[in-house]
Amino acid sequence: MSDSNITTISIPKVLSEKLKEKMEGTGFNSVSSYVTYILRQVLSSSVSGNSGSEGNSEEQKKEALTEQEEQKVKERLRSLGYLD
Amino acid sequence: MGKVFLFGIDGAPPELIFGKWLEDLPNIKKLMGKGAYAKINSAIPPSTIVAWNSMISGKDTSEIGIFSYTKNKEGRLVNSNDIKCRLMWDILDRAGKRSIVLYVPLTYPVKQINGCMVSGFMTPGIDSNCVYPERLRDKIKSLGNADIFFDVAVGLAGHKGLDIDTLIKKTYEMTDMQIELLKDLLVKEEWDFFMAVMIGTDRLQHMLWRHFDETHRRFIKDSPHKNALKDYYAYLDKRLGEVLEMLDDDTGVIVTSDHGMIKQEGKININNWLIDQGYLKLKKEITEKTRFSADLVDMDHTIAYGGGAYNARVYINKEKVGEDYERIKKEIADKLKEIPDDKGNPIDTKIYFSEDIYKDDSDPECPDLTIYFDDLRWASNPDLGQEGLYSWKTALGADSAGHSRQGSFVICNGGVLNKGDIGEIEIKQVAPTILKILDVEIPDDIEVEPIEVV
Repeated sequence: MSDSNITTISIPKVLSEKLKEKMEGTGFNSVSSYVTYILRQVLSSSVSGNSGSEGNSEEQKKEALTEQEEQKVKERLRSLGYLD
Repeated sequence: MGKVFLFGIDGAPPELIFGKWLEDLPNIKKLMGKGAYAKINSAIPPSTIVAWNSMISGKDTSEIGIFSYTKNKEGRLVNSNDIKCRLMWDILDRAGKRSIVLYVPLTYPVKQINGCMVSGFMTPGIDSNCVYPERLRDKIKSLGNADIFFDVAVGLAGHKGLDIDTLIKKTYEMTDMQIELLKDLLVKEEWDFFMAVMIGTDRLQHMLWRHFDETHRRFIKDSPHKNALKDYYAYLDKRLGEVLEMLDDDTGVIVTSDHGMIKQEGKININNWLIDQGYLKLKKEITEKTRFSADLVDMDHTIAYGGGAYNARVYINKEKVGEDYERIKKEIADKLKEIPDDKGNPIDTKIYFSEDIYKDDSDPECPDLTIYFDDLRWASNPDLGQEGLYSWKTALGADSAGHSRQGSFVICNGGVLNKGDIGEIEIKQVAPTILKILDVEIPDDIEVEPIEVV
């Protein structure tokens, strides 16, 4: 990522210090990358990973297939003999 | 800091890649010569959506939570939200590493990862939730026919109704577009892990096997398409060569498939067999060809019912059998093993018990038995209203070849040099192998080891 794609966001120093403590052992090498990770978690409606089966929010429904799309993909899979 | 580039070739069988066609694949041959190669044991079952996700999580089918393309109870298609475990990009994100993920099966709808993601063949269309970040959508649209960007079968009622020349032409067109985007992101984006899966091989293999395999019982002699699959592999190898030229010398390169491919002799009507053996009773007799559904089963008088399109799955009615469960399961497995081919010859059927292969077999979707008739040379047909034990064709669907247990795996650079043939590896070992090359700590919940040469 080039620097032109990066912006600065101010957060309280105390919070930054706490995050620094919390990120120990996580593999993150800076508070910035740790915060970026946390924010992505917040922004992603169903953050990939363990949350896959959790919740059935409107957001999540919106993301998955509509009935019409579902039929279209099913037809395709049947043509491959993939559906039993 | 290492980088890893993974080029997935869906369904590439080692018998052809490492054997018969190797001389036509100079770039793969070069990687094999410089690095290491192995047969890769697929997931159980060797289903495309399960196997790729096992490869990039280090987890088995039950931990991923995907046993087939549909959720049995709801009948709906599975999607990326159904995956229960962490995948490679989740692990790498935590370590501050960036991933570019292209066309990996079951990534639709896409996730907002640290990097870029374009979903795989179950994507309903270009205007769906198939790209992250959004700017990639216009890029794909600019490449040509976006309708077939994700899969050649889009909008087609069935491959069988499709002229083979058209299928081949569209497969090249799809692959060209997919490689164009791959190359574009390869140079324009920062990344630590780059993965792309080519689905074209699988699509052609399902349809073209009997055009070149002389041992196929429905072999088409002197077919004008007898070299079509080999030619496509040669083309793909050439495109791979172009991509490899763009990588740094120290980038770890993995070229791998999720499963192999094997000629299909026919299909065994699993539910007909269960009815004949007295294990399955339907609510009413069915004489017309009907797609199987658990709704048709008289559960009060049924011990087991079957499913599965290539491999067969048997579900035991646990409420009915109670304490007899273990005995019944073994009894059915023993009898299934005795099913001969249509000429009465014994076949090499492999049967897997859920508790032996899965870490958590408590999921109601988890089959009690998974059956590979004749090591997958015979497929399963769960449809009802079929005459007898065998069927040869389905109204819809490819019937030339099916998935086999072992795919092809090649690894080069990233610390792997001149190791040659390393035998067999497990598909789950790929995830820790990638992490090791990237120098990222392997999470405790990944229990398999990286492959030994890394």
